[in-house]
Amino acid sequence: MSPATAYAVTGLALFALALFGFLVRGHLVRRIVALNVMGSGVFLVFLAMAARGEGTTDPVPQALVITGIVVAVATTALALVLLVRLHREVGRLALEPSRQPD
Amino acid sequence: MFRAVDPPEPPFTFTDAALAAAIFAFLLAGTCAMLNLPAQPSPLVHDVAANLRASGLGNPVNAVLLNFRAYDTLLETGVIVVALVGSWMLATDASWTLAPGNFVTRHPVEPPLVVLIKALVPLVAISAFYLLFVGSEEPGGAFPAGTMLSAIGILLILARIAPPPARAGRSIRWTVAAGFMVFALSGSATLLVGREFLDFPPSSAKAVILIIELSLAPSVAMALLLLASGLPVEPGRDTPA
Repeated sequence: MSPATAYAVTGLALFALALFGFLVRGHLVRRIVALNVMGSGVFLVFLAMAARGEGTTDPVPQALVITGIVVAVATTALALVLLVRLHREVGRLALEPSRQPD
Repeated sequence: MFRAVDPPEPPFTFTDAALAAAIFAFLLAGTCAMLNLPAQPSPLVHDVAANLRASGLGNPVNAVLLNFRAYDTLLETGVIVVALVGSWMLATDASWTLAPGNFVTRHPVEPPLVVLIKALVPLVAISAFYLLFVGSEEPGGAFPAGTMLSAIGILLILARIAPPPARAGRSIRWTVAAGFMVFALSGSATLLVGREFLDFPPSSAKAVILIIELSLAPSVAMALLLLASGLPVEPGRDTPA
């Protein structure tokens, strides 16, 4: 297994773990964190794909990852503002009341 | 503000276990796919290397970002502006003109913090300008530079040297929008000389990209600062930490 493959499989594992957390957990902060970890897994797979084989690293996936990081930051900021507003309106940190026992 | 910081999660159900099994199967299939990939990288490496000089930049990643796939980057700057407008929409009418509250505390500012921030700000500013101009040949560019400039803004607000930015300010809105507008206008200007949208002519590509980068950096900095600053503190509802 080459280093690039090891990074790609690590990225896949990060994505799979975070996908499970994103779907199962009710706490919205956890979901937002899980979304970010999923994104990091995708970025890791992209960068590993760019670095596979001999010779120079492919700059196109690297540029796409830079774009993706900025979009992920913007998404996270908007999600957190939505969460603050939700908490102010209904006093909950989960979408379904059953997911947040008090 | 959030008293129940970590509410207990409900117990795992049979559905959750089935979901875990499905995701594990996906992980195994993906691993098999990764292990069976062809060893040679994509042919795009050679396309970028062959056209690097025509892009006006020496750094292949920034050549992709700002020339070959400039459309992605243009839309990315649009995403930042739209995310900021979306976060502004969530402020109530009563708090609309108030300053955002994320970096505002009731505690007095510690003097060592002010000393540290006054020492850090010039260093971070120099690093940001260095990154902005080195981006044509080495890793750098408008986005890392803008991120560092927004960090300066956060440090100055934390030390109460600068007030938190008020969203109603017209100059702040122009600063946020300028990067996207200059980028879109430069891309449209290539239509006037008979080229495709955002297809910069090699002779002037470097100058156009420099103008775009110079206008993007303050826009990215201001937009990230405002996104990080969050919602205003509601009068009479929340108290700052």
